[in-house]
Amino acid sequence: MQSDQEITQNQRIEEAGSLAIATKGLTKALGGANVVENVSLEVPTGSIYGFLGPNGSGKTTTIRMILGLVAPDAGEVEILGASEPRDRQLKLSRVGAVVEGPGFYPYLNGFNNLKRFAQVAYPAQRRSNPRIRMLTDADISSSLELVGLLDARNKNYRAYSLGMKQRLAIAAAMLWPRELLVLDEPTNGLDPQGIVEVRDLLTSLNQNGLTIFVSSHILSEVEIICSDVGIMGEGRLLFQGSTKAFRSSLGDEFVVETANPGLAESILLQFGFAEPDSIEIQSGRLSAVLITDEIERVVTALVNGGVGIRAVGKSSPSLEEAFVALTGRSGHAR
Amino acid sequence: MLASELSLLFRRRRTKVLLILLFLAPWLMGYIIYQFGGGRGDQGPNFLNLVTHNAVFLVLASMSSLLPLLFPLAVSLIASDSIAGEASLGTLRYLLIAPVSRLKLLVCKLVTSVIFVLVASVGVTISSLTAGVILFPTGKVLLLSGQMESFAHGVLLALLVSVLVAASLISVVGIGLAISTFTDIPVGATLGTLGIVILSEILSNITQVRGIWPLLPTNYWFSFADIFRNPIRFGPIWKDFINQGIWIVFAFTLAMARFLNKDITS
Repeated sequence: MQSDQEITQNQRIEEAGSLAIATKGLTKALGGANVVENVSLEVPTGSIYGFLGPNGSGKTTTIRMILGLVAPDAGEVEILGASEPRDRQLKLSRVGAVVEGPGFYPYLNGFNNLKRFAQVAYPAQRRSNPRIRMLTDADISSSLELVGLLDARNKNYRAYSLGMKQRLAIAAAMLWPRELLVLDEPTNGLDPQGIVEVRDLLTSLNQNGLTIFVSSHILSEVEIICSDVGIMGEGRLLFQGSTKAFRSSLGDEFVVETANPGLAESILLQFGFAEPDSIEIQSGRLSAVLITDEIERVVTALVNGGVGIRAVGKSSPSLEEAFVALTGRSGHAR
Repeated sequence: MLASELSLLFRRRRTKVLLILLFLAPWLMGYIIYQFGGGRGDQGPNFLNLVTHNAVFLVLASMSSLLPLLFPLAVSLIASDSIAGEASLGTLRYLLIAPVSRLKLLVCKLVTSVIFVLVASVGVTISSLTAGVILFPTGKVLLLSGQMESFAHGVLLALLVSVLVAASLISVVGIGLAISTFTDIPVGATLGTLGIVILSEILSNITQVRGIWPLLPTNYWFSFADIFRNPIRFGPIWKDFINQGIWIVFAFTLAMARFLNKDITS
């Protein structure tokens, strides 16, 4: 017999390990070729999950399948614990999303656009929570305020800048109480200041308990805030795990600045501190992935061998570099 | 949802312009007839000669000149915008993840277009009656079957005409909605819908294909004039109802078959 306490503990463990989004073997062919192939995502509840990959790597199609816009050819989708199509549809009322850029009515102003989406979403909101009330004008205004569009509320959407459109899409995604935000390239078209603002917004929303699934093809824009990452390339999931695990799986680089990198290389090899292919030499600089942790011994060996050291240090690869290593192409490509 | 659809449609400038143009048409016609007369005494199909005798006939004259082209054009524009318009703006994906069920969206779009048709048709009738009363005599009405009826009776018949005309356009609503689920380009859907209407009108003038006439969506369109008879000749009116009913069921089934499982890539 399990005691009550044990049950609560088990529940807590289950909750801690629960997934906001889980897909199994998701596959989709469009126009004859597989755009998504056997993608199994695990997005932990409470995480900020960076879904990264170059344009055309299948991110958006995967997101469309998660949200029920596109039917997978094979595989399963579970969102907030719901896996049956009907349940998933209902759960969408707890999910805010931006998919492939903003989509609004150009002939309505920002305020009326949000009102339109508040109205169409209301019946589903009430089905999942009978006590919920229709949003008031004040609620909609405060959503606009959150993304800094209150002053532009009466301006036609047509006249919005790309950055304003993007921010309106984020406001629309957060109109109702949410458990999960799915944001496809939310920083597209934003200036550096805007990108920082979105990152701060996502971090604070996450601290309030929201799970955030954010895609980007510009890794540096989101890597700082992600607790977990999934890396897509050519329709496949190349890596998935915590950002930390991802970094450590790549190994830190040992960097020496010296006038004689050739001599340094031969010493590293002689002592077996590094594999030959991990060593890279530029003028006055050598970098290598060390096999040993004892940097002190490496430095001593170099100094004793007569290598004049100007500087020595460690550098962790950016996700950008990691991405190139995984896919063989730059994340900035197109 | 339906309220939101209606306010979206009727708040849009394009809709207002379309309705104003339709409502102005009877004034233009009325003024031309007032200035230049209704033509010779022989009873043409356009009821122009009758208008100078009684204001209510301006309703029949307006309807018969708007029905072949302008009404279908307006209805095609609205109905084929239903899904294709939302798709082209990128709002379709946001409606579906709001979430709104696909069937509910289709039904709301259909009902909204039908309401537009009713507003257009009733509006043209009221506009015709107003122009008619100002420009033409308002005495007793001589029915097409020869009897005299009171002016009030004539006005009532004219209002019934607006409902019959709206009913005749249901097929166009359905065809527009169905085509709009096949494309993300609203103009394409509009032209496709209008093309089918024009094709139907052409076929209904070719006697070699008389066999398929009863199936053409435009075949019984002018049955509305039969209401200005005593007794009312209901035969063609019922046939029009059945014809329109078949078209709307067929078109909506097609729209559902296409839209309910469609991959939304817009």
